Amino acid sequence: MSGELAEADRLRLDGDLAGAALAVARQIQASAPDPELAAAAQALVEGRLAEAHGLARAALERRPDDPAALRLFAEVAARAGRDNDAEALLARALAIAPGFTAARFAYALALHQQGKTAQTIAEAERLLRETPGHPLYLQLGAAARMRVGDYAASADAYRAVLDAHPELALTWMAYGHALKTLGRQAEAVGAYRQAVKLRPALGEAWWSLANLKTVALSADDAAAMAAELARGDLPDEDRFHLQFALGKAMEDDGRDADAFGLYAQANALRRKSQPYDPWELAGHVARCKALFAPSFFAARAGCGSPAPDPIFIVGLPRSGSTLIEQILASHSQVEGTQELPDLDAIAWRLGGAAARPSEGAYPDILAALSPAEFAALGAEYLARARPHRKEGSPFFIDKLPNNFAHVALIQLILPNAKIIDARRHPVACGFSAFRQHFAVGQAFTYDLADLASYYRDYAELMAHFDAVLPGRVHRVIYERLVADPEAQVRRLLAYCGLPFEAGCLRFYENERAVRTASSEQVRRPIFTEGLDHWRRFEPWLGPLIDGLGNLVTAYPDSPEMRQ
Amino acid sequence: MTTWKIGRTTISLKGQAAARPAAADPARPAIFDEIKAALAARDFARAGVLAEQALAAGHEHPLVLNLAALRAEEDGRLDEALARLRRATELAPTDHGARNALGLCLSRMERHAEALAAFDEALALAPDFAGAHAARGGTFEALGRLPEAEAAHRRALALQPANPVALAGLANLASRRGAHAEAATLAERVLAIQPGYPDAVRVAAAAELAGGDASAAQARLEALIADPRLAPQQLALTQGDLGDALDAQGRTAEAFAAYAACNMGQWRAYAPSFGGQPTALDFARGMIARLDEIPAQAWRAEGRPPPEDVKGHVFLMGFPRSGTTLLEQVLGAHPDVETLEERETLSAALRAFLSAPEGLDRLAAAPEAGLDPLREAYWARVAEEGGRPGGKVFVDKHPLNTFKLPLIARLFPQAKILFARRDPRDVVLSCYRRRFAMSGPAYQLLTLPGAAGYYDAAMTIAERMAPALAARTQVVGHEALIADFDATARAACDFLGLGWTEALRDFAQRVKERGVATPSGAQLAGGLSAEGIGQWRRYRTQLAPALPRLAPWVERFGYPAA
Repeated sequence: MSGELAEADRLRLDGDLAGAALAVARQIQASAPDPELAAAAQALVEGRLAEAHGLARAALERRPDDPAALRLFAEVAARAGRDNDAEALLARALAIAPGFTAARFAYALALHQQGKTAQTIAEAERLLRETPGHPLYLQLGAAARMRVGDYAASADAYRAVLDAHPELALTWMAYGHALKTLGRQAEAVGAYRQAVKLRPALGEAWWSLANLKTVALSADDAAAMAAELARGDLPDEDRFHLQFALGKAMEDDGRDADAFGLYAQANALRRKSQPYDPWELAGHVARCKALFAPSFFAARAGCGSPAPDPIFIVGLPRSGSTLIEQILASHSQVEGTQELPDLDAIAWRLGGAAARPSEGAYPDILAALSPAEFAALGAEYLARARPHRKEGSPFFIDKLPNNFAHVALIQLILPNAKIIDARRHPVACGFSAFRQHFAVGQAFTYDLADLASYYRDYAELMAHFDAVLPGRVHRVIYERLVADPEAQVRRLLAYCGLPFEAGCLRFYENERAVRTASSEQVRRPIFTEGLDHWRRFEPWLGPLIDGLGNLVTAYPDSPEMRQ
Repeated sequence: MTTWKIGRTTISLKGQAAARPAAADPARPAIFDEIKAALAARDFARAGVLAEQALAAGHEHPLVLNLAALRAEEDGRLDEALARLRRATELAPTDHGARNALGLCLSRMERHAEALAAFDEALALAPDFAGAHAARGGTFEALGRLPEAEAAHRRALALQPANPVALAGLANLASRRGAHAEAATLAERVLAIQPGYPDAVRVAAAAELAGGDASAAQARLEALIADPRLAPQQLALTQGDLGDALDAQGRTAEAFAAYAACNMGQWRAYAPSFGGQPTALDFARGMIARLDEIPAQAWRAEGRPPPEDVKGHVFLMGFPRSGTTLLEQVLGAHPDVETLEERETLSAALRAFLSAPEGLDRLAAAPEAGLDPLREAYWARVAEEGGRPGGKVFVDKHPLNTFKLPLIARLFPQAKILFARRDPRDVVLSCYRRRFAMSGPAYQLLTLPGAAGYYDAAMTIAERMAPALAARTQVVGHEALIADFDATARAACDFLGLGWTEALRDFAQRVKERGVATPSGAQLAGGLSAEGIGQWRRYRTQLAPALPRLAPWVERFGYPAA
């Protein structure tokens, strides 16, 4: 284990990325071999990015093979968010000077930023061979391994960092995330507690504790959180996490009005930085209904990759999809992966990467693709999913809920893939999402009216595909699953073409790691006490219930919603 | 003469005898013999590969460049093909085949003005080169210069009576002016020479469709779509034609899918040219953001009247498919009216003030005296485009002039504005279904959200400009013109200070004789028709993605809600 940490490393380990970037620039400045580079580094230190860019570029033009100049220019590119440029520049620097450690670390970071996980891990390993035990390299490798589901190795690496640097609150939290996903719950709680002990304002760690859903927060915890919330200088990021967490504590304590008030504040704060336009989904649904008639699919029958491997679990978050996943993953022929972003990424690319996807070319573009292109897209999806398949099972699960928007795409590129729609009572589902903090990608959950319109659009789209492709999508009604697991699991397995296995009913014994909001709940047998939980909050749920309209009474059927 | 087909065009290398390199260079590389042998065996693919190898080895020669260019063109590397052909014409300045190939490459890149120059040069070197005449005809058609297109094709046929490009070109022109029987006869001649020739199949199908045999048209088009040799653009257009054939059979869901296939095929094919940011829609929204900041009185200008001999100056606008072409044809039938159809007459002013939305601020504040050169440039441009406004009321028609209203307000404060209006839902549906010559604005019309957004932007700009322009604007309802032609046309004449004449009723004959360059031609040749009114109802489900954006305009213009 290395001894003293450089300033930049210490800051980065502590989560102060801007401070770390500044320290790196200072380092470059101090070590710059000539005044030209020093001037560029000076501009970078002072945040004059355009000037730094010009100077670094000029220096590089004069000395295109100077690793120091390449690294500096890469640093400027990285600061401007152009990680792909930084990557290319650093690759060149390393080709010239393979032992240039600072450049290699910057290179690994640029790879990590772009989600090039396998390469990031390889570079982190190489750095660790050169400097064994370096906490920054361990941490980068651990973060990358989390992304590919190698949680055990990730936890070990975090542990090694913490053995040498027990003062790092953020690392304790990351360690907690890894432990939680591995099901080592008691240790996870310990790690999160250590994080908030070191940094009581660390809202995400408090929320992580609350989000375990099986840990009751104490009165002391609530008091500590309230004290932090009373501070005027708390960053928004910590504030909304604390509000969600304290809301949960209040709810557990039966103080429903206080709890709802905190949820509402947290969501309002979150909405400030996560704008949401309901038309993004409503327009997509209208376009799907316009284009995807039975004749559309009939004319494209037999297209796509014939592989039956993927099982897509779609729906709204908090609808029981994690439970369904855990049940299926307990089958000997099925493995769970994660919420994979790949189908959405393919759809976004097909649409022309439009700033507003609702004004892009997707889904219309599916009308213009050839059979060969559908097959290639199916193969691309399978290739992108492959690194997440670790058991070699014939079937794997992709449970990104938002994939419900891509039923047509799935049908065209992977006609033999299974699609399971996880559905839960709309008010229960909506309220559950409202009190949940999602790290990314669920901006509709921060407002009750938006939640209602989102649920309506989702239900309308699924009803359309039920009509156009009868039987294609298998729906699991959460309340029925909870009431009669065996019957529902038998139906589910029959749809998937899998023989019944009793292990699927003892899913809670499955060791597999789970990363979603529901993860702790599915480590226990099915419990039914939560079904009507939302009724306690009914007085405050008016915008949700009104917006859902006839969906509430018709549930679990889909009423005729529009026209 | 060596000829072969790439995609939709036939390339001729007349005068490019393969033996020439041998004569020119006694110490010629062995690869030239191989190229020669490949050409003799009509193995053009191999000849192209060898030519690229020869080029890479530094053996630069006109024929090698031409063959290597062809290879690049087939791969879609058009910029590379163009560079090679330019080099070939430098090395062999009197080689008309190389000039012609250059023109064909430019046509394929839709750089029509440059292509025309290349064909003109080829023909200056070899006036009897039928292929170049035919290609020149196609270029004129792409430029909307239909009479010149027809003349060029006829010249090609006089030189080479079975030239399929010229025959197909004439067939296409006939089809566009609604002369389907004549078009079909020409198309069949092409198909006898070259079965499956895409343009001819499309013309023949259009004739069948016009004759009421939609299922025959459908079968013909489906066979063409299944042809793997079809170029992407051609495939897209054929799918659009198939949409029309399905629509005529009331199969709206399938028709809509065919239109989507057409539009998305074009969307992909033209993404390199028009897919980047900012789009025409982004630009229009940027303009609206600026207009919101500029006080309306900035647009109430006083300025120089039109040249003395021009009796009146009118800008006719609206939105594509809102009835501007019909109105132009009707007014154009008046003996005292001169019209100009969809020419970019305001290009100098656009360059001066509208290369970015922020230019509107400068335009609003521009001193009056500085605008005169732009007015002069406008009238010079009108003349260049063939407009002869002297002694007439001059109608400058362009549906997208709506986006130029601020320029028109400042530059031509005495001009009148005729605004063609039609049910927004019919307009947007029709924009989605029709196939326009591609451009930034046309690219927006390839999706319903894009078309509706662009329509909304146009109407918003017109609304922002209304305080300054209302007094000299007349709205002409398309539905009203259909329902009561005489009264509506008479009101438009009154507004323009023209006397009523029954000649206006004969506009259809004029269309038949002269043709119309926009997608409306064949329809207008049939005279007034209520067929297009309320079509959107048949596509209610399909149009849903556009309806919320259009609803406020439907209400404001007083069209029924359902």
